[in-house]
Amino acid sequence: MTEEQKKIASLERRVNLLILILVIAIGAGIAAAPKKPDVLRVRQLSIVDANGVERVRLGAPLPEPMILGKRFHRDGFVSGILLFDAEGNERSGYATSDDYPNVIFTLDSLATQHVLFMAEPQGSPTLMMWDEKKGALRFFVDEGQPHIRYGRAGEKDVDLVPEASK
Amino acid sequence: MMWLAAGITSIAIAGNEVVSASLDGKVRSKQLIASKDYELYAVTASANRIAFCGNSRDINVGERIFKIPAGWCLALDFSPDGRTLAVGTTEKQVELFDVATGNILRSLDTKWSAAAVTWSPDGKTIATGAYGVAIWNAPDGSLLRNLEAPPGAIHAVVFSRDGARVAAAGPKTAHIWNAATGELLRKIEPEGFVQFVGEKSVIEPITVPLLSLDFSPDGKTLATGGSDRMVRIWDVESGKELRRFEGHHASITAVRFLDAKRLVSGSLDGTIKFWTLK
Repeated sequence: MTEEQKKIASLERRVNLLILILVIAIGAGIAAAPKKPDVLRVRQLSIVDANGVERVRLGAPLPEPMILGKRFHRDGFVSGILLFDAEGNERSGYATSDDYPNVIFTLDSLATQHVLFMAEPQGSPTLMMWDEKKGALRFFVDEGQPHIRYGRAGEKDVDLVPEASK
Repeated sequence: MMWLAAGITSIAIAGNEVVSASLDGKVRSKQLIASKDYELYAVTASANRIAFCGNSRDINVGERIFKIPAGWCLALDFSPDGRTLAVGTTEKQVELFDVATGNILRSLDTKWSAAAVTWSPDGKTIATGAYGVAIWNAPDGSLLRNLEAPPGAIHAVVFSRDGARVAAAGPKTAHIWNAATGELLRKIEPEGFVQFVGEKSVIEPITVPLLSLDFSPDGKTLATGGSDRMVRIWDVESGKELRRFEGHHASITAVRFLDAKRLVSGSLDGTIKFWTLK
């Protein structure tokens, strides 16, 4: 083997060694790379519209309610999702409370709440609707009995209990 | 465009200048006066200082800071002599601060978040708006009377310049009372509001909250502003709407007469507009 052939053979060995090291390094890198996260863990997520107005908030807890330019107190801490109108007023919520074990869904006007859909932890689901003149309608199920209750301002509530099927 | 972030929540007249407070924490006149890292809900002015507050226990009075015991501030107003500051809070209280010392002199129990507070021109009584309207004796903090108020949360209360009348803005109506007797004199109910749908506006027979109001200097007319985005002028005696001004693109949170012929309005659209009555 000539000197030149010896040098070529030596270079080939070095190149092969470098390739081997490179392959090992890439393999080790891939193995060590963090997995792509499939769960986003945050306390709050705020979605804003093109005007910068917050329209959706997911949070634990959710913020105090903004109503017509002022932020008011909420009774206790609630976690879930809120919807806001184009001026940032809270108009709907789907949440659980730290203080009460119910899960609730609400629809609100600018002045007050008008629809409440609620489930208690042991059952007894309720759907309530009322307007600003205190007319109210309530559907609920309790102790195996369905109820419809309605009320008018200034009058006693009326319970309609459907007759048991025969 | 981040118009709501800079939405104006309150205005005050300081000398010849209009001062505004906004949700971006800024107090502005022709220039920036102050900047806070929390939403501001109220500003007021006396002869020689302004005060402002918002989503914080801090009440900014000139260069000083007073503290409310808990919660945050929704409204404030200087007494006519500038010596006492009434602060409406989320803790169902109106705190009366001695401006000289920063100490709380008295607390008025409003039983609900006090979103509106104003002094009578003679400084003897205070009107508060919470879930109802009440008149208080300022010197000792005793409740004089609860007024027959619009149902729901009250957003603004104001006395006429002569102190004879007091008015409040509620979810659907403005009520006007005889301030001395509490007799309800007039209910003002806007008949039609504008419901905004995209670029078009359509008149719909719906009602939305009134957020602000002010008597004209002679007390004969009342200006209101609210979620219909219109400034409306009403004849106090008849309750009839005399005129309306359109131009704001969000709820009007503040209206003030500058004089008999001019008024100013502030809106959550982040603008202040001046209007001329002809």
